[in-house]
Amino acid sequence: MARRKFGVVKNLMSFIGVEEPRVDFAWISASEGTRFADTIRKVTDDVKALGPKKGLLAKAGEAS
Amino acid sequence: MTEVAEKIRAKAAELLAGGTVELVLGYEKGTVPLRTTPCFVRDAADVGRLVWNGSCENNLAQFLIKRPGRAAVVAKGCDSRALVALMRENQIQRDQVFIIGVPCTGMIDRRKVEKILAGRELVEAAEEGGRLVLKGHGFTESVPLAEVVHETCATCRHPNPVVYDVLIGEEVPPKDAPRYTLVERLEAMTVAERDAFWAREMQKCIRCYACRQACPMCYCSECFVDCTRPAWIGKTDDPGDTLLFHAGRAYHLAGRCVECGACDRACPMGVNQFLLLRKINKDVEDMYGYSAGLRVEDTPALATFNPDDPQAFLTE
Repeated sequence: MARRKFGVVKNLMSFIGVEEPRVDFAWISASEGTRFADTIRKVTDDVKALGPKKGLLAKAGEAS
Repeated sequence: MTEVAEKIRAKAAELLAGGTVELVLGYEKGTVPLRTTPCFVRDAADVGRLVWNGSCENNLAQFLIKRPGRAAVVAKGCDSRALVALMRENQIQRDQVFIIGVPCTGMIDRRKVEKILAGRELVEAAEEGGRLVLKGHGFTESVPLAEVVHETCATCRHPNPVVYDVLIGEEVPPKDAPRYTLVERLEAMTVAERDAFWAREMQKCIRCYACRQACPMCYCSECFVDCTRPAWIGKTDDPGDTLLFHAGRAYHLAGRCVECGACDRACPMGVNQFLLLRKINKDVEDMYGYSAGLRVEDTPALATFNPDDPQAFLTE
């Protein structure tokens, strides 16, 4: 079910103008520490490369 | 059209007089042309107030949510889907409603009529043989009804009620016009172009929440947007805040929206927030093969899963 919900959210975010790499989903078990670290590293690198959110949602992002 | 109204009145009188229901929910003439207003008939003597025409656009399903007592309701295709979706969510009990189904040829979009009138005042409007006759001071104009129906109606796949106790009028063929033209156009754009599109669209929104109030599926007693502790989203009319509200509402309707277009018709500013719902409906249909409000037995798309569901978005 989480997968279904995420499928909808991911597409919706892209549809309202949020770059794809900013929204991420992965199954990681509590025992997969390295995998968790690698995934987080990849996501933060991707988001850093994109820089702060520009455009419509820039202010909304700042506020929260 | 008047023939259908006559039959609705006769049925309503029969139901009220026989004690089958204590209330008949339908439409009555509004105060201006091309407007009707929800009508609550409790006495068989009052059934004359009930009308049926191309302005019966309100979705009456929402008045029946958690309502005690037995009521009859006049339902178009979309309204019947809302009833089914609400039954699915335990908001309406099937045995508490008597559904007077009426196949719908499409509701009139006043914005389109206003364009035709170009500022002239409308005094009278009548539907005659597939045409809408508009009368005002010193002018009479006639346009094909098909040209002035709402976008949601022009692309409607379920004009006939999906559930009913009695059906009044002839069944109409479903439209097979493409529903997702604009969704597909937006999908083909770049992220920046989409951002610019929504910036233009959301500027119009005044945060009146008419879309939410009109929606039969938006029945939460406390909406996420009204929460102040915590305040989930900004409440200003800044286009960014506004977009988050509309996107949040759309997401809450994922796999639940019955595409009645009530939100679209209720909007005083012409914000195309229905487009977000179209997008989600399209995704839910494509990915999970589900459309809301067709059968009470169906499990809603987001309340179940299939091991083979698409997961292209998963980070490996």
